[in-house]
Amino acid sequence: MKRKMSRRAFIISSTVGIFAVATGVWSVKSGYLNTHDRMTKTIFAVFEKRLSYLKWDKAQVMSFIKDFLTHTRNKGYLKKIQRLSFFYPLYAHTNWLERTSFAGKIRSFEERIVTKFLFSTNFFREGADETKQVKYLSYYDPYKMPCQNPFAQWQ
Amino acid sequence: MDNTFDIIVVGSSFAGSFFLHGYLPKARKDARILVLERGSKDSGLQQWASEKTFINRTPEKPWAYVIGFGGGSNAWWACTPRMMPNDFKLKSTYGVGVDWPLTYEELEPYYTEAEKVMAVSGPDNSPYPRSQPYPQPPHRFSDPDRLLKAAYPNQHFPQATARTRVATANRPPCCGSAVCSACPIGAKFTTINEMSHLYKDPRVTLLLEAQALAVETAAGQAKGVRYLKDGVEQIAKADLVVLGANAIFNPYLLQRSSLDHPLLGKRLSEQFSMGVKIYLDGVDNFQGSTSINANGYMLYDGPHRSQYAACMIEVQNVPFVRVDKGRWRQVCYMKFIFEDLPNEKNYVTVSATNPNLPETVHKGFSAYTQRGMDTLPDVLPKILAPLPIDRLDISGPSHGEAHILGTTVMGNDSATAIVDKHMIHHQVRNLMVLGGSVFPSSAPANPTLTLSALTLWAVDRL
Repeated sequence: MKRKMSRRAFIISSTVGIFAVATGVWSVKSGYLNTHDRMTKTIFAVFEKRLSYLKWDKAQVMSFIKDFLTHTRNKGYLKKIQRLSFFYPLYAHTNWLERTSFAGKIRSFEERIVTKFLFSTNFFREGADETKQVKYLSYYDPYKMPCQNPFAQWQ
Repeated sequence: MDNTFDIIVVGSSFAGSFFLHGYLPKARKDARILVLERGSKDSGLQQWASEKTFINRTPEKPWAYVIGFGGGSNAWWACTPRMMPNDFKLKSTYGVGVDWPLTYEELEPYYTEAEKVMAVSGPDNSPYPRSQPYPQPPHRFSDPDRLLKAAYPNQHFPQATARTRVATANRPPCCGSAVCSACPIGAKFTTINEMSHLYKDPRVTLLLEAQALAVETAAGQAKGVRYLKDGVEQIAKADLVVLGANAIFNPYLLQRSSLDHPLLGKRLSEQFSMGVKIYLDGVDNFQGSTSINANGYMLYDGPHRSQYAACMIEVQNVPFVRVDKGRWRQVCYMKFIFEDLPNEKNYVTVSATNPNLPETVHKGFSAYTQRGMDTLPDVLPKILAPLPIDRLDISGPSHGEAHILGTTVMGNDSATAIVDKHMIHHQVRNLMVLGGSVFPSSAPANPTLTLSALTLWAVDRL
């Protein structure tokens, strides 16, 4: 004899199914399934979350992110960004991760990105003036352009 | 090539180069010295440690070395503190570890000489006794260092370093690029930038891409070295053989030479560290003039060493920003570097699966070291009290400090040592073994200056 699904079971399974489909659609449309896109968005989220008060240009930031992700000396670090990027929605849209035991690692990630970006710009060279436009000059690589550390005082 | 020499030196890194520095001034005018260097001079062809040159059976503990002319000097960070006097007598002072067969006082003149060669920059006063001032003035402190110095005048010092403060004939002053592993301007001492002239001495034959395979012996005497060059095995003969490879390859060569000993290859060790990121309240950082400003000795020597490991504090000046509006420079990073006790469960041996390679096994640092690390959460607020602090982030332990020590230990008793106090093999009396492999213990202080000084000490007795 065919067993009838109860109304409760039908509602639950329908809800789960709709949620799964919606998640799938969102994953594809948002680029979440694409690793490179996900990493790019995760790094960009640092700018939106932490540097919103600075005057930066989105196109220049994207150019920096592209340079960061393709720089040979960052190869070993990309795996860490990949792992973090799985949590991109949580990182980008909430502060939950900062309240977990991962908070220190999140801070380190943000510091690394922001350091590299700001050292690649005119920001510290022009007195860290937050009212001025931040211009991306070239990717900061002390191996290729030594003695450009804006903090060093070797006199 | 005539393959008969007076001396064969294996390796052109610190040990090999300081051997030449000490020996050439007293060598005969017609002396013949062969240096076998496994790598090449082409920096693009330098090999980092990999599965091509050794098998790591415990890859969670990585080892770092460079194969190439100049060896590890091409990749080090040029930190050159001396060991402390009690580091040489840990057992007799604190009842733990092993005593060295020589004292700090015996090694002191050779420390001075090695510092002169490297043109070390260091403080006017230092935590260890000195007979001579440092060759170069100290590097500039950062503001957090100034606060710590005021609170700990005899325990916080500018770091002794072979990163120049002022130019030498061959090196510009350090400009704080903070990528010292491959210094882009040549400010850091390497054997290439300051000791290349030794390899141009007419008495020295430098053979590159020549891999030593074993020490040839007969009737208890070293006769020479078997090596591989251009795919062909050859034997070079000599009256004295000097091994100056690292602490993975030195014991491996002796094992391949059937010069066995119960401790050969054992006690593979180095230091381990914890990282502390300090978010400062109102104090800017990074005004220093080099990548590592200072060493703190507040946790180094003292009665606690009978219970847990000594720790040297390294204050870093590698720039990074705090992601906090207007507080970009209010952050500091320090490394707390702990000594480890030698342990025979950590070792180097000839690989059973591929005898052409050594293999390493490292099953972890000692409980002594762990107890030292465990003190940090309680000790840090007190030690760092002179700094206004918002928050501390503690991380670690590290996988190591890129040193390799302990596998051909020196000592007076041939039953418990491979080489004697002058680094001469106990059984083969015309065979020397130099470098970090002879260290009986791994004090918190970076080992390169000490191994260079030990080499000069050993050569002085030839």
